Amino acid sequence: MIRLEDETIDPGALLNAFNADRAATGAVVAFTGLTRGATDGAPVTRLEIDAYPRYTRKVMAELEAETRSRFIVQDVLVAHRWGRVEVGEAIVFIAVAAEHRRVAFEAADFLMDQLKTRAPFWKKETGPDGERWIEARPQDHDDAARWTAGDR
Amino acid sequence: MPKVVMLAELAAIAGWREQTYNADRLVDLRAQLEKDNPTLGETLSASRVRVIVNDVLVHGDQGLNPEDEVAFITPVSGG
Repeated sequence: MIRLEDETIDPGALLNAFNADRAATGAVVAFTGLTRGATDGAPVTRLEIDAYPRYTRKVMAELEAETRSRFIVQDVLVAHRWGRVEVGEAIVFIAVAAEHRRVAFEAADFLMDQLKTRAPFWKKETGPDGERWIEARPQDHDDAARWTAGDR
Repeated sequence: MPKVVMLAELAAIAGWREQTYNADRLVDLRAQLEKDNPTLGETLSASRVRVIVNDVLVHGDQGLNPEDEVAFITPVSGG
């Protein structure tokens, strides 16, 4: 399931709801991405995330589908914020349920790498030195490339 | 007329987010955008900017229908 949220994400509540009624599940791996108060030493006072809602939902659904086809998982949840996000608030929350832990860890890792490099969101950081639009880092692309053919 | 959508920093450069343009091809649309705002036109011609027509990434030129939605995007930063 994917959720594009314009209000605060509560990772604890999402995780509790995700964990409920799972007799067949042995492992749930969850990841929360938070808004940092500084990037590369530059203070950040505010983060604004732009999205192209219909297209963003479409690509998020494609990334969920890729995760489900690549790993034997039972359930996937992705919640992603857009709009204005305060420092310390969650930007993204994902959870993956599987029978055993290894596949849940791997699927969550894969899904986050795809979200970082392919999900249609655009982040603008505001700090004392002004505004700047940020892009996925080279490290993010290297991380995502780990999953391409020949590596597994 | 096709609806044109600018996202993120492109909306900031354009000064608008959505506008309709009377164009029947992407090249024609690009020419009109460039004429209206040369700075925007130059930005849009960079290889880092991608074009999405009706939620599908497109490359090069293509015909546009009146009900089409054309979006210009910069590299993404999700997660």
